[in-house]
Amino acid sequence: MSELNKNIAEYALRIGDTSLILGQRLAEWCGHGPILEEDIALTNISLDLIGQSRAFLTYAGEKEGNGRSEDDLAFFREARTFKNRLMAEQPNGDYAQTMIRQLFLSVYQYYFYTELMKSKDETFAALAEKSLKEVTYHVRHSSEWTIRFGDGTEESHVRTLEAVDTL
Amino acid sequence: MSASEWPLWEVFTQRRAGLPFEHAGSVHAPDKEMALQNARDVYSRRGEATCLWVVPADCIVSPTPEEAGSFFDPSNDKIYRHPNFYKTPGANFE
Amino acid sequence: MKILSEEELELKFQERIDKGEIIEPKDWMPERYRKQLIRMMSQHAHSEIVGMLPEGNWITRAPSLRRKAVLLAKVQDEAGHGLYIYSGTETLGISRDQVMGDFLTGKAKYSSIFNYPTLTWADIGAIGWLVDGAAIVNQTALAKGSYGPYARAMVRICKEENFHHKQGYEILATLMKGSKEQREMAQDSINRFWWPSLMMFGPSDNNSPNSAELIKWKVKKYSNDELRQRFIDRTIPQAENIGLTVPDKDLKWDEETRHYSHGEINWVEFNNVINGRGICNKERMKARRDAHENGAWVREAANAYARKKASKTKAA
Repeated sequence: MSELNKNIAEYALRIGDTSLILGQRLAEWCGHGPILEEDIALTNISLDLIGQSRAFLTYAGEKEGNGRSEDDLAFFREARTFKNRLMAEQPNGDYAQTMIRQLFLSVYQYYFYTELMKSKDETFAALAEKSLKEVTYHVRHSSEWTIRFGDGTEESHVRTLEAVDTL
Repeated sequence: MSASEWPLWEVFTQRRAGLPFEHAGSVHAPDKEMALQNARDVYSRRGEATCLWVVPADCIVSPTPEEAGSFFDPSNDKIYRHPNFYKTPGANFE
Repeated sequence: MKILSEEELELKFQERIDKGEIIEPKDWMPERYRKQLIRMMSQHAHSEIVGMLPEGNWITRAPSLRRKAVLLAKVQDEAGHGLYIYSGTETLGISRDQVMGDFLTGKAKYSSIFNYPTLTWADIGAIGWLVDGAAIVNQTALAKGSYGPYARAMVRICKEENFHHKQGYEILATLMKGSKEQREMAQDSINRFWWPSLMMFGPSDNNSPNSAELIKWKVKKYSNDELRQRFIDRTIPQAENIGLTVPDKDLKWDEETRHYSHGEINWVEFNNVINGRGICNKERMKARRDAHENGAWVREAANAYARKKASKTKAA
């Protein structure tokens, strides 16, 4: 494996891991959301993220050149070898913590994918372009909730501050 | 509706640009921004929409069934509004 | 205009039904028709929502990313289906909060099938294939029912549910092509889910208190036993196709009736589960109550923000 391919594989794995872990966390909410509409909305975000991770993990496997599939990478690695942003794996907590985590990571991903679109690697650029559309909506969704929590009730305000402190 | 229940909104989706908007269903939402998001998340999961309208359900006005007769029956006998009412011997109108 | 008596209105209503007309929310309807619809539709909606739980149990543990995405999308659809049907009940003048309240306090029922546990991955296959298969047979019939909003919700749901049915079958077909353990896992799952799936069609016709009325009003177009038979007839060949057998020693093809005849359903078990004594009743209700209670502050925060914003707009 060339040094370049090795580096690309490593980089793709990092991106894919963050999406995978965050998507997995959000999936834990499925069936337990605060209202049906929100249950559906959060699942949409989770599905976007799992889709992103599949694409990046597949690419990582290709570049690695050892015939590992998205599933080999997702299911047959030790927990310690995951390279996700630590923020993504923080527990769901209450809905404020889930939303603030989402806001932070979605904004991060927004700027990240915006830059990745300029990559000389065509696959990265294409995946970034597709992901950016999804993430733009995630930013909108989590921002709207953050505004409502911050300026909603006393309780929602306190919970949101705590979430920001925790994260 | 209880005091704490989010209001009901009716959702209309447009499948493709150029097509009319059709009623897709309803969602509950606290305000118009959230109504739009909820409508998007509930009613366009399978690429069914390229655009959306959300309308507060209580803003929609329709006649009562008692009024239906006086509203709609009078147009039933105006057959001269339909093109096939007319005889146009031999001429091609296609 | 002549004021019609209740009996005359009811007669006219029945005439409309007999002619195959569709009833819309603002139309006059007997109070009993409205009540029966609310009961039936809300039970149906609650079932969709509770139905998210047994399958949700496997989302985080699905064996591949493809299966994970599929299952997540499927469980999400159940939330959507619940939502569509709740919207239908709202057209009858009862809010989602009210029907949800009746459910959370245990007043309203939901389908007994969801009180069985999902012990293995094969159960996700069995639920998709059998439970959603049964639901499709039921809902295809309901889509031709007399109440417009309910029938419309069914049309939308049936379209979405076809993928649920097929993905379940695909899971089982894959397992049946696998190792001995995998085949046993699939068969064990069918052994547990076959009878409860048959129970989904409700009590047999001679013991179904609501059926006659619902059929008279064309809310239901076919009896419970007719639909159950339809389900069995279409499912057995699918089972044989991948080498699964159903746990019914009396099941056999009847050349004369051109249907499968089957063994007696255990109605004692059915009544036990319906009346709260199934394996998972308590767990399911707790999960739904927790979700509702833990979400209260979220819903209220959004309300409070909307009120603040509205009063600011007024002031400006």
